[in-house]
Amino acid sequence: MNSYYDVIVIGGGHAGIEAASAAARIGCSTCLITMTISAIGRLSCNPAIGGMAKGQIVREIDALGGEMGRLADLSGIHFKMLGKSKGPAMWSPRSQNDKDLYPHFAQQRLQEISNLTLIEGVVGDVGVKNGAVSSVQLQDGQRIECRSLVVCSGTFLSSRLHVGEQSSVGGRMGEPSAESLSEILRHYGVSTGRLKTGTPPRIHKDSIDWKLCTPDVGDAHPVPFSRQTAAVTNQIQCYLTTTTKDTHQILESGFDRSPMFTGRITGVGPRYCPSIEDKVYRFSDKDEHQIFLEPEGLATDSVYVNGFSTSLPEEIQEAALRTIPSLEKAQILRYGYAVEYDYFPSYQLQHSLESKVVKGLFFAGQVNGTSGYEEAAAQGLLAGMNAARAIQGKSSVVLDRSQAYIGVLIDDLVSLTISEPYRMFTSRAEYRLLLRQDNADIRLAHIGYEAGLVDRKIAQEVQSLTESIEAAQDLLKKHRVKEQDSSGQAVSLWQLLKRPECLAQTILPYVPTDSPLAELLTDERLVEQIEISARYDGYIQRQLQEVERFKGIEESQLPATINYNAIVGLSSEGREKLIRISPRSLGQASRISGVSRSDITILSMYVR
Amino acid sequence: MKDFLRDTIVALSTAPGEAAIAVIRFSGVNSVRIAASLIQLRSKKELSSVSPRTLVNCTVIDNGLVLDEGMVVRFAASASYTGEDLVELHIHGNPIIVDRVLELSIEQGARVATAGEFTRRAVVNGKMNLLQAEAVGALISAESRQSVFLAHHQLHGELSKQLYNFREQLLSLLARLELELDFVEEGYAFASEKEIEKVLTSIRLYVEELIRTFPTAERLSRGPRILLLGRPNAGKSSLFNSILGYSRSLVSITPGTTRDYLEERFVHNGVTIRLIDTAGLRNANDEIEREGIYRALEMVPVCDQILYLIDSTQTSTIPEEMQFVHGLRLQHPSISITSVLTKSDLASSLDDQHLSISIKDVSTVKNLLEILSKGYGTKQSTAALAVLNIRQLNLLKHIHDLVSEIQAQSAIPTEVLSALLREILIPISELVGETTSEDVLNKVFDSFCIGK
Repeated sequence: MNSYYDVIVIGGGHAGIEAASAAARIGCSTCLITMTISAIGRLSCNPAIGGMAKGQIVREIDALGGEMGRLADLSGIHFKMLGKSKGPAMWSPRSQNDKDLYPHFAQQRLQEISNLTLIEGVVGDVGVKNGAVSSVQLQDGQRIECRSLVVCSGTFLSSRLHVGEQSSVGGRMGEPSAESLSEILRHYGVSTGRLKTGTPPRIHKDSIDWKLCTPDVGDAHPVPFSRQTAAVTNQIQCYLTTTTKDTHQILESGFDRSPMFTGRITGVGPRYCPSIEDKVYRFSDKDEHQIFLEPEGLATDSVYVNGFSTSLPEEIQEAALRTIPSLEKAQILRYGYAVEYDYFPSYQLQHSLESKVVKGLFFAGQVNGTSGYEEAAAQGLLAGMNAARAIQGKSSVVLDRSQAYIGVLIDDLVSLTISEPYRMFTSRAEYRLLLRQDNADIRLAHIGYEAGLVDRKIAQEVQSLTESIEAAQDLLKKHRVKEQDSSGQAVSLWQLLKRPECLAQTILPYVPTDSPLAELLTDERLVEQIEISARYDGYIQRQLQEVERFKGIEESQLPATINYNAIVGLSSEGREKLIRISPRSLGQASRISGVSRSDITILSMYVR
Repeated sequence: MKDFLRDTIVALSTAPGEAAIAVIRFSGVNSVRIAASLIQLRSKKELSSVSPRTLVNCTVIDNGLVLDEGMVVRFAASASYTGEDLVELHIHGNPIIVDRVLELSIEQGARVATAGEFTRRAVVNGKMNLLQAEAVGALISAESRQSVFLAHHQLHGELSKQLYNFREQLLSLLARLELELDFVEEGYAFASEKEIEKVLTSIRLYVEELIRTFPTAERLSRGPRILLLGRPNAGKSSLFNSILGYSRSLVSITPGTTRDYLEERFVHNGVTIRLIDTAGLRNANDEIEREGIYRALEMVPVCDQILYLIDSTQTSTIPEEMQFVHGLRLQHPSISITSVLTKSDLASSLDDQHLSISIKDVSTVKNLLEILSKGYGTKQSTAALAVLNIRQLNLLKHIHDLVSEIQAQSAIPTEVLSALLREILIPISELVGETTSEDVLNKVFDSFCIGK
């Protein structure tokens, strides 16, 4: 049987969902190939979406017209804004999600999209003609022609599962591994590496002594991720406990049987989402580590032991867990395990996420060496968009680092040589004060609209909000009132608003009720934006100036034909990296690890 | 892609004009080939087979005829000033010979170097950073022994070392602040306020000291410029000639071009002093004469000191003259103005309050010179480091402003503090030339001479 789709997406994880949805909605006939349709959208690690820096990404995905925000709202059972102890740039929405509902809504959503077909199967071969992707052949012999192929196969490529000294072949507990895809792509000149990631044990909720834990309640006024969601509610509570010295002692006794320590896992694990054995080993001065007990859903007894990711032998996991207050009688439903898998080092990609070696071949998600649902979804969205746009003869959508966390993410991926799964942090964004969860739509909705993924109505609302904010700021700067202190000096309302602890409410009495400002200040979103801008005023101005400065170096193009071997004075490591990554601008070159600052000086002199 | 940095450059590296020796320098991949094509080694060997850093005798050949005899030395790229293959040809300092050698080199494919291009290549090839390159410039143009020492300090990377050190400290703070932000839910605090304060204060104090000593350092690098003022016959020109005659180390004579003054340079106690005689203010009419003095005063911005000479034999006008000096001081508070009573040998009575001289008494002139060069000498100033130019000064001021801004505020939110600390890293990187824009680099190297 022969068939044709404009775009084929391999994999139904968070990257695959976004890629397939975006490509289809932009107008390309699309098919998503997955091993199991009922596994699409599984929350294979923690049952949560968002969190520090990741919550901002979900907001950006929503602003661009992606799926994750809505799916998280639909399946969310506990919502909390993290980072509230710091300023608004640090606020990050997070939800606990029902692990059955999330995939349910994801599958439902994909089935609604008219241009999109879901196919069960495992890819056996990829056809390339004249350096461009042309088809995919499934293991059952079915051949599907295509013009763009988006690989979102997660941790399933040649994957191995490890629990203690046991290891087996598999992509997730109970699911098979896809053995041949990385082999096929290697044949076309795409190189691969190994990474590992882990997941903690799940325990039965009735075996937990809840009285001994601290409740971690959701927000009193939970806020949805998506601007299309009217409201969300908290339906459960999470709980907090900590490890003890005894826990650490037991874990240490198993180090010699941990695949990580014995070197059986050759992939490198994440430093920032560390396993509990890693934490105990690296922070040996800490007597306790936080453990969050997160129910995996409404209709399940399973509780996710967040903070206890491990691949130690089963008996060690059990003994260690039982030294934790409230878990003395914990009954383990599934042991923690580590998965080791092939990934495609992403310096082989362009900023559009298209391969540099095979035309029409895109990569997104964990195959690019990232960690996290949100990072995967963001890549899937951009890869799907660009795969479709390539077919339509449109230029790629590339977000820059001053526009979005997604811009930071992708620029990092194509520039950095990662040695562990890449996770987003707010510290990776140099323009953090600008890239906030509260203004994602203001920053990005127009891009989603132009790409055909955001409704006209939403785009117009955002446009008018943006204009109102500017108008209100102008009015606030112009409207002067007398100080109430003895000085009686005239100050603008804006200056008042900039003072610490001053909120829009404080200045309302000064605003004449018949002025356009009074009307504008009735809009909650507008008030929020005004308050944050006033708080960061000055700093934001400076970040904007930095953005301008950065444009200079970003726009300083490095031609692909540049012969780095001919530039004397480059450090040997820098030269090797520049040749391998072939950065498109001086700015990108400056972010490549191993390219020293003096290498950049030399380059800038060279290309002047 | 321009091959600007790949070709071979040539230039006369010693001062132009007649001299015993002239050194012509070649740098670039073809420097050995080009130099070899101009010469024959006395040993009959090939230049490329002579060991690096060994001076050998050679004959310079022009179309089969001997143009000159000299010596040649080559440096391998791994251990040369520019980080490229480099050749120095030492010949006789005759402009005719030098020009011909340059001509022949160009015929062989060399290009005449632009100002500072050798040093620029040294920077490009990672042999030195921008601060060190600027130090090379400062070293060549240093006008006092003290500024030579200062330039050497910077050339050896003393300032860079300190800046790298500050950068490390800031990065370490930033790393910990970021960890705190990244794991804000876990409630860790990795950097204490006290520690941040300590680092910022140490940077601020260091930078403050550099900024404070800049005027001194700048003066050191060019030596003082002293303006002689006074009525006609006050003895200006006599003093001028006497000092120059005494010092016997006249460096140059620069006649005033549009203005009526003479400027001469001489070295005293290791300091280059520029003495400016405001000649030509001779007018009978008193008013016009004053006008002349005011005109001379237009040169004040480029002066460090004024010597106001008063004829001590004209006792009746001394109070009036003193009054005038007083007025000058009020007008120019930043300039040191010294009133000097001249012709002390002829004066009937002199008080001790005023400095007095007589050109007939060498010791009084010598004494005056000591006073003039004071503060510029090698012993008086002990600053180990100094800012060498305005570019460095402005960047240091920027660092100072940023640090002061942080220290002036209380309770800065962590995410803002982090942004501000990152901002300090920018001028630091610019100082050492790591993120410097092309314009700045051009400006730095344009002030160099050709051949350096």
